[in-house]
Amino acid sequence: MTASVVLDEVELFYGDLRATQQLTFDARAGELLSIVGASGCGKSSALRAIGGLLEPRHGKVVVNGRAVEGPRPSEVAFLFQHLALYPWRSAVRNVEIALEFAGVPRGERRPRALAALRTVGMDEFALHHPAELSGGMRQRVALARALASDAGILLFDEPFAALDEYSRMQLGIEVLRVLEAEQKTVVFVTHSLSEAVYLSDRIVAMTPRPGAVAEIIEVALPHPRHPDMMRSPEFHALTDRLTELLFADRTSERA
Amino acid sequence: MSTAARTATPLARRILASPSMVYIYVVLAILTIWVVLSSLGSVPPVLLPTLGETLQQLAAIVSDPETLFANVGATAAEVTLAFAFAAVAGVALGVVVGSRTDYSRAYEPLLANLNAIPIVLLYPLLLGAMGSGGEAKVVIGAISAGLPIAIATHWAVRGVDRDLVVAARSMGARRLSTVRSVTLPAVLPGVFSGLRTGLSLAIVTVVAGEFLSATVGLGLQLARAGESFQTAALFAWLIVTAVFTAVMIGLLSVIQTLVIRKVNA
Repeated sequence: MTASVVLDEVELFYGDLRATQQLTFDARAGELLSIVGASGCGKSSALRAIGGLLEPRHGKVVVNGRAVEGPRPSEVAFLFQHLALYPWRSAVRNVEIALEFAGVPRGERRPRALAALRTVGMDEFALHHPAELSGGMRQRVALARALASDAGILLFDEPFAALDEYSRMQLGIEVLRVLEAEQKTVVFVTHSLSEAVYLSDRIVAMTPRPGAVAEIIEVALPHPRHPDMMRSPEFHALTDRLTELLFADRTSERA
Repeated sequence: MSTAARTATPLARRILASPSMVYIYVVLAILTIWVVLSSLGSVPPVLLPTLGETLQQLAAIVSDPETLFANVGATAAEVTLAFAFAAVAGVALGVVVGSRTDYSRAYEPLLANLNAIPIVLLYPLLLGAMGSGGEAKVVIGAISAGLPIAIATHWAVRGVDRDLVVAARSMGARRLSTVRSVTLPAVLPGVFSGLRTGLSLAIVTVVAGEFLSATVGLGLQLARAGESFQTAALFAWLIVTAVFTAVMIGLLSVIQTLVIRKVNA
C-alpha cells in the first residue's frame, strides 16, 4: 500500500523546547493511524507538521509524495481539539468558510456545504449556530467542514476529548463509517487507549518528550468495528500492550 | 426549545420580561414618583417642579424650534466630532497595542491608568487656552471617549481565539482573508461595546464643558435654568438632553447592527 504521509527523522521545536526527536512513521493510504502518548510528547506537534502549520527544524515531512512547505488544504484537512468553529457563523456557513478559503466560487459553496452536513447527519441543523448545538453535534459540523474540502487526508487532534465515554464511542464508530465510505486517510491523536484500539488500523505509541516512536502496533480486529469487540481478548491484549509501553518506566508520574 | 419555553410562559410574565416594555415601566415609575412627591408638597417646588409646569416649559422649548435646534445642533456637532476623533484614534491605538503581547504588557496599564483620571479636570486649563467655543469640549470629549474605546479594542484584539486563526491558516486562508473573515468579526462586539461607553462619555463630557463655559448648547441651557432657579425649565431641558442622548446611542446601535450584518455576510 502507498504511503500518504511520511515523517522521516522529524525534529520539531517550539523556540528552544524540543517537542520530538527523530520521529519517523508513515500513514498508508486509506488507513486510520492513531498516535498515543503522554501529554506534551509531541503528538499534536506531529499533526501540525503534517498539516504544514509547524516547520521541522530537521528531517522531512512528505504528503502525497511532495515535501510539506505550508498548509495544503486541498489535500489535508484538520479536525481540531477545540473544533475551531466560528461562533458567529451558522453550521452551514462554518462549512462554507473552508470552501471560501480554498477559493471555491461563491455559487458552489452552499450546495457542497449542505452535502457535507448531510454526510454527517447535520443538514437539519444547517442554520443553527455552534452555541445552539450539543457537543456531539458541534463535532459533526467540524467533521463536515473537514470533509467538505475533499481533502484525502484528515488530521484529528483529540476531537472527541470533550465528550463522555459513551458519546465518544458512538460518534467514533459513526465517523469511522463515513471515513471508510469516503476512503480517507486519517491520522488521529488521542489520549484514550481504548479509543485508539477501537478505531485504528495501526497505532503509533510515542515516548515522553522529546517524543520519538516507542512502537508501532497493528490492530488486527476486523472491520466494521463493533462495541462487542471491546470485550474480546485481542482488544484487551492490545490495550494492555499500550499501557505497558506508555507507563513502563513512569508509573509514579501523572500522565 | 427556547421559543417553546417562551410561548409556554403566562402572558403577565411575558409582558414583564419584554425588553421594550421595560422602558415603559421605568418611565411610568419615575413619573409616578415625581407626581406623588410634588403633589404631597413635601418637596419645595424650587427643587421639584410639578409635571404640568415642566410640560409647559417643554412645550415652550419645542414651540421655538430655532433656539432648540441651535442648542441641540451645537452639542450634537461637538459630540459627533469628539466621538469621531475618539473612535478613529481609539480603535487604531487599541489594535496596535493589542496586536502584540509585549506592546500590550507595556502600554495597557498606561491606558488603564490614564482612563482612571477624570479628564474633565483639564477643562479650566483648556477653556483658558482655547476659549468658550467648541474646541475645548471636542478635545476633552475626544480624550475621555478615546481611552475606553482604545482599552476595549485592545481587549477585543487580545481575546481573539488563536485556534480560530490557526484553523483559518490550515484551511488555506491568506493573511488578508484571515483578518477579514476571522479577526474582524471576532473583535467587533468588543469594539462596539467600547464605542458605546465612549459615546456616553463624550456626551457627558461635552455637556459638562458647556456647563462651565459656552455660548450655545444643551449644557449652557441646563446651567442657565439651574442658576436662575427656573427648575421647571431645568427639568424640561433635562428631558431634551435625555432624548438627545437616547437618539445618539440609538444611532450607534443602528450602525452596529448594519456593520456586523455586513461583516458577517
